[in-house]
Amino acid sequence: MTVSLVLVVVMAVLIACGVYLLLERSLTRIVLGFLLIGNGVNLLILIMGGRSGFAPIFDESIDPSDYNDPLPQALILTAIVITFAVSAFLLALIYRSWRLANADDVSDDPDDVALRKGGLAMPVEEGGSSDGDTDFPAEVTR
Amino acid sequence: MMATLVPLVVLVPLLSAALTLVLGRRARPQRIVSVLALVAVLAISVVLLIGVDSDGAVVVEAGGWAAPFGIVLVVDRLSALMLVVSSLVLLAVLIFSVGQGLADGDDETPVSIYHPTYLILTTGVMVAFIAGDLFNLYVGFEILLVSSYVLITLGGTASRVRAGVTYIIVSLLSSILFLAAIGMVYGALGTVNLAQVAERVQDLPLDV
Repeated sequence: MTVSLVLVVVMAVLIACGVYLLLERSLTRIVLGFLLIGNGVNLLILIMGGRSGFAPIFDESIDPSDYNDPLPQALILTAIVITFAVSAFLLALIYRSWRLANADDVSDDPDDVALRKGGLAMPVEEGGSSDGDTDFPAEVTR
Repeated sequence: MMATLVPLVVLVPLLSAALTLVLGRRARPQRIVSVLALVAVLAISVVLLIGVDSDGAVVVEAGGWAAPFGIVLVVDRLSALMLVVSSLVLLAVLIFSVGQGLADGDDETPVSIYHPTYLILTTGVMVAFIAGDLFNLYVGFEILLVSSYVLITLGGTASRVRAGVTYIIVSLLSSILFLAAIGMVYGALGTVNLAQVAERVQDLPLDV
């Protein structure tokens, strides 16, 4: 299977940048990272389709082996639509998170923080489940 | 007769989701429609399980395209059993949530969205279980996941959003990995049809 080196390099760069952004704590960067990885994976599927060729529209004068493989393109089309829908949902979620907490960080869960500080000796109920439901912890403001 | 029942497992919850969305804020008709839809799905699944157990697996070619090119829906014993179990669990959870919502008198969460989303979640589960190729499995998973994102952040209160963000990011990463794996399987085997994958994976050279 012969593939274009440029496509492979672009795919690697997209996925590497995407993973870096996805590891950030800021939600907007996570969305950007998700979009980059999504496009990188689409390129990966395109690369897996093999070498390039003519558009897969039936024509008697073209030898069947000269066509491009249409199936990866159909898969990519579906993947693009799904990525679009998920990123739309994520943007709405970030907007909601911003309106609620005025910060787009992934905040710590109070119970997790309590467990980490007190070690295993501290009971989980210490975090306070009754008042923790209403707002984000105060230390997320920048 | 069995072949006509297979798409119904997906279509009944999907169309009922549209119907519950149209019914909007009228809570009682919504509940009746969604409970009836899941009861119907459970009944169809039981009929499919009995039929498949006696007559063997059912394969439906969606849109009339033959197996290696088109999308196939496959119901064998295992998937029919999974259909029965999952529709039973989904029905029980729905009845529980309806009862819980009535008990709480909860006006905070928008009930008009809950029932359509739950039925679309059902659709995703059913698509994932009767999928005959890897990509259809991915699409079913994605339907299921997106509606679970909506369900987990339903109402959009701070605690729900905080809990949901971690779940959503981890699920996003795993579904992207799933997609990449499907791409690589296609590159290695030249097919995403599960039956063909099973045939060709034996002939794969060891260094791929």
